[in-house]
Amino acid sequence: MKKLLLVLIAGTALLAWACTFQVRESEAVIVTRFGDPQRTVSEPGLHFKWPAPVDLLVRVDGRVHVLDPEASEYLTRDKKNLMVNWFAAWSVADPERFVARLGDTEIAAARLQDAIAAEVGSVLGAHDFEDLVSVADGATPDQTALADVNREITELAGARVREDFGVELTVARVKRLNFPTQSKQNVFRRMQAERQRIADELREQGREEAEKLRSDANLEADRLIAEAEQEAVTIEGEARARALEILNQAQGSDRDLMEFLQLLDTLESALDEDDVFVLPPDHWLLEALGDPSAGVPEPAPEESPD
Amino acid sequence: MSSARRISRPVAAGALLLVAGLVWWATTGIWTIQQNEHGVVLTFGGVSRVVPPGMHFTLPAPFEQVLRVPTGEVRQVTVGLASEEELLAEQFEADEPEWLTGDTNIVTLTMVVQYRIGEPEEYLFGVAERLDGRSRDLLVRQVVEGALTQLVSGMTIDEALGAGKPRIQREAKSAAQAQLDELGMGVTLLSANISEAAPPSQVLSAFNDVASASADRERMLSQADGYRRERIPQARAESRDIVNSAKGRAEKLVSEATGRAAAFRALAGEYQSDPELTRKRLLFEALRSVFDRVRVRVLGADADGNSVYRIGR
Repeated sequence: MKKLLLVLIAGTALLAWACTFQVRESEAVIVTRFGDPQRTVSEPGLHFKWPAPVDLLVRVDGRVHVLDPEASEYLTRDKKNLMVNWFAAWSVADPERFVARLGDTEIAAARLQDAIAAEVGSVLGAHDFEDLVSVADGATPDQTALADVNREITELAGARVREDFGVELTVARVKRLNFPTQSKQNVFRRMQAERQRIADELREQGREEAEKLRSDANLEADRLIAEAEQEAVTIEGEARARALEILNQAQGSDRDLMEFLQLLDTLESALDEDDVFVLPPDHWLLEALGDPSAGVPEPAPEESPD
Repeated sequence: MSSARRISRPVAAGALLLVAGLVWWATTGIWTIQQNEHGVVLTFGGVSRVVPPGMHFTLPAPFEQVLRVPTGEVRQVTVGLASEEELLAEQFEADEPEWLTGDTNIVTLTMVVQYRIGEPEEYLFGVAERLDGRSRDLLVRQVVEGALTQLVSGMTIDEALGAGKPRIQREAKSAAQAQLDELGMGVTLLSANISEAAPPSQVLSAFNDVASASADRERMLSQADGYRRERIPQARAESRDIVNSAKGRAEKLVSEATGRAAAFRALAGEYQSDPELTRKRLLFEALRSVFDRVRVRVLGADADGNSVYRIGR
């Protein structure tokens, strides 16, 4: 009796095990009946099936997988060589087609990589360099020209892999863009030359502006001094006029005296050693000079102007 | 003693074992979720609920299972260059941190991104593990890298190295977050900070020269300004002097004239009261100085009978 119970329990357990299967989160399970795919179960949890070998299971990983190959060289339309590193994220959209065309995730990765690489090459080859790299003021990452090209790659590659492999491409885009090492030297040379030009310009600007400041200062200084000198001339001129006026006013009160004084001035400057004063003995000047007896007799009379 | 009551040893042992087994089996349904993690409960393989830190009970394995997710952990990734720890952990490869700018220049830029697992369920089942065995989190770095490449491709090198840095941080983070959400990775970016931004080492000296040229220009301008600051006040002082000495001379002229006018008026007074005497006096004073120079002869006889004799020379 006990043995029967044990067998019953064991049998039920075995049956349960053989007729159920778990679908894990983000997993799709294809149930095949005698090899032909019958249905695809994506709902996580416990499900029922006929025991093997009637119903067999093929599990498909429905999560997002990342493709991330090494960088390689690509050519743009205008023949520029670029080192491009791209990455892509894909997931299974159509499990049955995926299994039929690709099989499992590992095989898929290699095939998808080739397919996407080809698309990347063709898109890049259809664009000029400036379609990839060009200044766009204030553009957010998604507004740049490169973003447009990335969207193009995602769209074209996406359409292809969906058609061919039943795969959904969430994104395929350029991760890094650079010149190959050989070309970089040219870029560095150009950058150096540009910086040198900017430096030269700055220094030249400095020189010019400094020169201008200095000459403006000198001009201003000269102007100030010229103005002052002008004023000085005016002041002195006015003073001279005023002085003359004062004198004229005074001297005008007695013209005789003024003339007499002028005559004396003239006499004083005109007389020198060639001139002789001949005076009568009773001239008041002799008296005034105070020592007529100091005179010395002369043998003969001489010429006398007067 | 009834034989029906006696339980044989092997059976008792078996029952005990069974009970112990059942108890043990039940404990596989007891879980303690730590403070810095969350638990994702799988029921028959599918996610039934997400539980916070604390003690939780589930059906025993294999019916239910709890996967632990470290939601409290802040993780870090360096874009552009692998950090030492990352290199040591062999998780990321060393890289040249070079980026192309919109004006076809090259900059070197390194960015440190911090993130945490925001959605435990998404994190576990969104993005698969990598085939090459490296961490799934590499995708964060790749997404940020892509955003940076796009962003910098639209900037000039001067912007990227200067005023554009805050914008780079802000926009790379937001674009990367949007992309990560689209991919369903369940990761929340906390910060994206530029740790280094410079021209490539091959052209660094040329760039530095621009900075020193700018400094030179400043210096030249301030020197010229200094010159101006001296020259103008100097000129002002000079012009003040010119005007002041002119005023001085002017005053002297006027006071001289005033003095002479006063002297004349005094003399005129004298002259008017006695013209003859004043004339003689003036004449005498004038000639006194002259008499040293000229010859003076006196007409008339002297004691000896001579007709002309001289005075002085």
